[in-house]
Amino acid sequence: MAAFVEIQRLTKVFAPRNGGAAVAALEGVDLAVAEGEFVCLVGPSGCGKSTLLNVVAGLEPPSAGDVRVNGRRISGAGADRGMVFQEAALFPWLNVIQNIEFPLRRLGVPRAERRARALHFLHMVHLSKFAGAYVHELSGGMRQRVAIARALAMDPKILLMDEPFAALDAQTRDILHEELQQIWQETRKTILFVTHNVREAAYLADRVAIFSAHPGTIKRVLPINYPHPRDKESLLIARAANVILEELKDEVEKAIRRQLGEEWQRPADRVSRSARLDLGRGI
Amino acid sequence: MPSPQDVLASFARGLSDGSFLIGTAVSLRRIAVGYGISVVLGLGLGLAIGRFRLLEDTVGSLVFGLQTIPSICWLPFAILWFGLSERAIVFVVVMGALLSIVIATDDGVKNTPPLLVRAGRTMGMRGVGLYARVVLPSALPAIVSGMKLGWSFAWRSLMAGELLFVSAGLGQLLTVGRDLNDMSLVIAVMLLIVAVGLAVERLLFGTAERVIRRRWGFVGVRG
Repeated sequence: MAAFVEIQRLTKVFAPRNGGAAVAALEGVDLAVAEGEFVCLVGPSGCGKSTLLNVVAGLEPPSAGDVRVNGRRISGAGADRGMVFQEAALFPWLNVIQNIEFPLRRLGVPRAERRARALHFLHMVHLSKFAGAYVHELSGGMRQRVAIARALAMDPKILLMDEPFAALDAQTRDILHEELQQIWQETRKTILFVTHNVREAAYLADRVAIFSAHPGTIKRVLPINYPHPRDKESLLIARAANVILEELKDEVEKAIRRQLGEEWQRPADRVSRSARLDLGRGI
Repeated sequence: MPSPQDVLASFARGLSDGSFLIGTAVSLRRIAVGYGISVVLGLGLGLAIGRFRLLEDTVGSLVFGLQTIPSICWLPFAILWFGLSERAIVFVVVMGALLSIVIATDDGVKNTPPLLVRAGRTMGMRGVGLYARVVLPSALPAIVSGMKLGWSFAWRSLMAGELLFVSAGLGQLLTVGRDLNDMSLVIAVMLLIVAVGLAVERLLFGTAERVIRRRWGFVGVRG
């Protein structure tokens, strides 16, 4: 049986701009995601992980290859795939509850049920008190909660999350990690989650797809066989994070060297030098 | 110069003999028609220019060119076209308000955050629906300020037009004052023009601006 999300030999080339060369963001990416699975995509910046998410969302057409969700090839964006962006992308002219109800009208949900559903998911992200608040009155973390509730309210088959917690402070992020884990366990949605935070990936994911850049490909898929709910302080999570970090290190260095040129060296690889030449004295 | 008491007396006389009321009513009717046409045309044109590249390249640059013409300069054109009629003055009013509404609407559409459009698309919206429910509301603050600007342009154009040629209306009352060498009447009418202009502006835009400030969180420097 085919997987729930089936990505085969996906290639995405961005057309050259101003006479530059065409950029291959993704080249021959294969990834299969089971229903209800939580998969994190990590990699250095520019590795195409966000592009992959955009293609699955239908916001960008693939250049070659195949993306199927639930057996159907995707064509264009649709409400069966909910997306949460790094910035909450809430509508400032609507209050919190209206933002969550917003996509439901188009989906033909009757008015009374729209309100009930929105309240249900607002409760799930613990923002019931803020139903009537406007976007500018909310903190960054609260905005992301609303964005998550809005995506869930559409009852999509998949939740696509593009670095949703990257712009938040560390404490808020930790709390939202725990809550997302809980929400995922309650709703059993399939989640594709882009991040460059290895701890985040190790804590949340069933499997972590590690990308390498130029061209963007998946270097390794690392299963994290450790039952949910997880404990963030656990040694197993830290160990998994280290494995991801090791895999990524070369990729990140490659990316930096590409940007800065050969002048750049890892601090650890440099010979220690001091102008005063008294290193080691008194040993 | 007349004393404030003289002006006040002229004002009271104008109100009691009905000439101010009739003048105001005539001017308001003209501006209602002219401004109404401007809003409908301006929104439609602005939205279309914001949406279609071809229109932007053609009509768009024309609009910016025409914006440099003071609307009263359309009066000779309007008289030749429509004759000395109500339609000529309405035309001048439309030319006063239309372009600023077009430009503001086009700006509002173009400044829609791409992220909101992408969010709308992931909810399965596209085409006209996306435009009506995401782009248009997002452009609303710009559109309202364009309409407000258009209103004051329209009001000025109307006064200039009435002053120059058309019978009745507040502008015409000014001419009467001049013909009678009655400075206190002239000043009284000018005060009336300010009062009516401000009152209508508050009435039309007060609520809209309050709602927008509340929702978008525009608080200004005092916030």
